[in-house]
Amino acid sequence: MRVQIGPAVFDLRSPFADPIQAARTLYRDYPLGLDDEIYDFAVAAIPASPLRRFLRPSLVFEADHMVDDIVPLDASLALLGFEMAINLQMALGYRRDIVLHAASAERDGQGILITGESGAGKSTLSALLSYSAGWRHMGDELALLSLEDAPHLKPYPRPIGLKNRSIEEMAARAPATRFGPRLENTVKGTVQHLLPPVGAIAAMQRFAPPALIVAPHYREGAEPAYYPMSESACYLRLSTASTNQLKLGERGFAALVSVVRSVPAYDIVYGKSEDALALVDRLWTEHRR
Amino acid sequence: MRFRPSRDIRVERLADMTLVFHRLSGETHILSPEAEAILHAVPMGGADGPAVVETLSVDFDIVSADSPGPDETILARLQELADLGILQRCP
Amino acid sequence: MTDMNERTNENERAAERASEDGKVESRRRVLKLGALAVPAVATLSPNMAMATYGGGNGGGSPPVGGAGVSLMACTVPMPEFIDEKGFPVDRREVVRKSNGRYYRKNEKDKWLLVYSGPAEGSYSGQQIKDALTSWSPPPGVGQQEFQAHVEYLTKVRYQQVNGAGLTCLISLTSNLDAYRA
Repeated sequence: MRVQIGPAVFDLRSPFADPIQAARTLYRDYPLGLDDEIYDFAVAAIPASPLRRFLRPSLVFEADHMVDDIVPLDASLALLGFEMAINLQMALGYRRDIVLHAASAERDGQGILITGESGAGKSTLSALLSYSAGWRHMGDELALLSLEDAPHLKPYPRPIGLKNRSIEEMAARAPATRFGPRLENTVKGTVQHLLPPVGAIAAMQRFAPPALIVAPHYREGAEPAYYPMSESACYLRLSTASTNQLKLGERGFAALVSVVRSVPAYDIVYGKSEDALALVDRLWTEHRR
Repeated sequence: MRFRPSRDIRVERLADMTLVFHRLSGETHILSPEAEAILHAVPMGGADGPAVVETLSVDFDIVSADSPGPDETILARLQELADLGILQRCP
Repeated sequence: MTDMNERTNENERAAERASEDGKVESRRRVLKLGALAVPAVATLSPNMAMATYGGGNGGGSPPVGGAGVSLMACTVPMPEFIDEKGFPVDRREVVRKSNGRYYRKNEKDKWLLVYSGPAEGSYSGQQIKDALTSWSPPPGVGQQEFQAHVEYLTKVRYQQVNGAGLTCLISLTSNLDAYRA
């Protein structure tokens, strides 16, 4: 099957019917009838060994851009494998924009970029913004920044990968029909995908200029606070959060410098979702143009 | 030995950090305040080490952490910048 | 909600400190030349995959390590003694008192606690990353001691102090900032 996510078309393959069926269900709102299109990346879910095709099946994922030491996954976790492989193709193989390990969203025609290490709270904040605060979801995992003098954020609106306590948090806020199957015992605990609102998927070709950068720090029991980020800190964090910026030459350098100079950036600390939303709202009111 | 800034670099000063993009290698260099001041003191037309030291001592009180004097440190820094392609040797 | 704009800017702190130490009250700018052994330029190369990225979502893969800067391999040499603000302290100023802790005198002749660097004299990038992400110091290093080490690492990273291992620290930027936020 072929699916378009943001600017790229992926060809997903497997000798098994189940993983493809699961992907078809998860990606039902995305452009799918693309079998005559040229695809950007192919991802294959194949049996870990010939015997594994019949015994308790276990899958390995193959694609042009992969990392070493990938652990085979139980077939019930095939969706995770596709997601991981799709993200890796973008992170390592995509060269048309700067790829940042970050979330992004749009409001008032302008964008917010949410940067941070794995586990800092990007996905949760991203889900909260789109389901509880009226933002248009642009992506929770990889953000794309165009190679221009005044760069735009381009949507890459994948299903949001919620982990552990964030699943319950969002279950109260988003319709049950938007959730994928619950995937237990993964490397990161329990994972469940939350589909972005239909409108966000439909608008995945609508770009937005970034107007605010935040780095979330969820910490249990923390009082809400925000700290302005210096230009140097912002540059180093975005450059190190990018999987390809250093490979994009002078245009990649200039685009990142431009963003760092023109877009205000903050670290935000919070212990409750309401606080996170209030912090973003306050900074947004102050800085949107 | 004389040095001048390479024509293949793009210098961008952020509020608290100076970045140099080197077009030929695709590398991004992050300059310490010391390296930035030294690069700034090298004129487009080129200058030798002692001339750069002279320019710097007009603008700054120079404090050296090392046992070799400031002159030697600045010469070594010029060499370091030249090795990275940020400065070029010139006649 | 706390407005944290009053948080002292790192540069201001460094400047304060410089004027505390500097005896010359000159209006001219001061150019501090660092030790020759420490490079004055850190380089980000296209051969480095800077982000450690594992594809998200616990897909079962380890994060992609940088080809140029391997966190495992890169090391950050540490000073022998560091004060609580993260500035290196000359060992000639340091006195060990009977309580087993190290002190130096400040300008006002008051004794201030200083901390020793790690016993090995350096940290590996991986050690720093593990300590920062687990919120606990590396084995054998005390909590307050490590806090001073983190202050030092941050100063080197933002070049308020000339120190070695800058490129290694740059790859740890997000971890350092997250720890201190």
